[in-house]
Amino acid sequence: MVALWNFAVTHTDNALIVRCQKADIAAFNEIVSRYKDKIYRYVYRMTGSAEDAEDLTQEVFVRMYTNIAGFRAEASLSTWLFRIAGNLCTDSFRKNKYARGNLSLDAPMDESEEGASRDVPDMSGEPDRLFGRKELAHQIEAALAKLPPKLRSAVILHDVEGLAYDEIAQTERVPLGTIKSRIFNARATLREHLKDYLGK
Amino acid sequence: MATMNDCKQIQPQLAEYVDGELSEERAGQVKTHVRSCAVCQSIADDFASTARLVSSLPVPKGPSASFEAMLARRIADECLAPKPLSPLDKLRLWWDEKSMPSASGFRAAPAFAGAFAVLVALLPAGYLLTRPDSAKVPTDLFASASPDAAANLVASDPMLTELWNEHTAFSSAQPLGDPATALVGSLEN
Repeated sequence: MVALWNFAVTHTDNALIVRCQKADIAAFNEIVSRYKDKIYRYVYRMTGSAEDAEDLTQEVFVRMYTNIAGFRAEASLSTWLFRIAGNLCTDSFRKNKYARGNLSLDAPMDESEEGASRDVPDMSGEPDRLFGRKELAHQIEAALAKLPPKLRSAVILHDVEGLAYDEIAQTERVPLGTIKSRIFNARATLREHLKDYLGK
Repeated sequence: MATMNDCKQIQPQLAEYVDGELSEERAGQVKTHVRSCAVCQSIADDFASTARLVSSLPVPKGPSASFEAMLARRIADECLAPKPLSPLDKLRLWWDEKSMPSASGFRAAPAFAGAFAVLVALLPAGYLLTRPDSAKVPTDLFASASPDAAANLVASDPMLTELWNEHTAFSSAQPLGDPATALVGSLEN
């Protein structure tokens, strides 16, 4: 059933690409509508910033528009878009504009919680489940931020976007063994950073 | 009983094992080992937990409501707007405009180009037809001709005669800068 769905999506994607290559703006808009959330989610997880995710997601679709004439159906559209997004994130990290290394476990969780430390224990005796979930999410984000971008990308594409190892290899244009190694190393590093939260 | 060697072989595959990326046969072997090895079991459980934690992250809201409008504006500005012309483009444009037929059907640029090409082709022929007669005098005459032959040659050519007369009139000792001078010099000797 999943295979049938994937076939249908790929088939309609290819039809949209052909129309887009003929400068059909409605087809382009359909592609944007179809993939903007997916790409935004990936870039957001890579950069950790909503503003940067918005800018880079726009850039992904601008690049797609300008390069659509050269697109060959060797890879799926989503693979191609993730590749563009990954390259843009890498470029951004190189420029240190969107580097996530400064995301600290002690950093405020967001503006509304400015000044609150992530290490502050719950002294009330009653576990605040909402705070606990937010705290856990921020710890996971901080642990992801500590991964090198290539490891982070592989684990996000697998765990968040649900891509199989071979699809990630195709997206990243590296051998399958490289992706196996990256995900193993990512899991080992996350295990170290999240040891207090494992098994919960 | 699991051995250290088994663990060294199994542990690199634990991420693939928990992610369901191993073949059925290989997954069975790893499963058998993990059941008998507390260390590998612990690592596998932790790897599975990290995957669950990452996949449990709250889904971000998605791009802003103005995302598509802003993107449409960027596409219009950056991709569809005419780009500034390079000097080469301007030259091409000028050529194309000149190549357009006027109301009378006259195409200026090809006509100018044709005229220029004809002019260039005719230049060598024009030079040959209009060059001074002195240039036609073979230089080996100066070396081998006798004074009588040279005098006859000068007498037969109005230009050489004029040069000779000029030379003898002013008794110029300076070279005149053309082959006739050498001839005159040889006559004097």
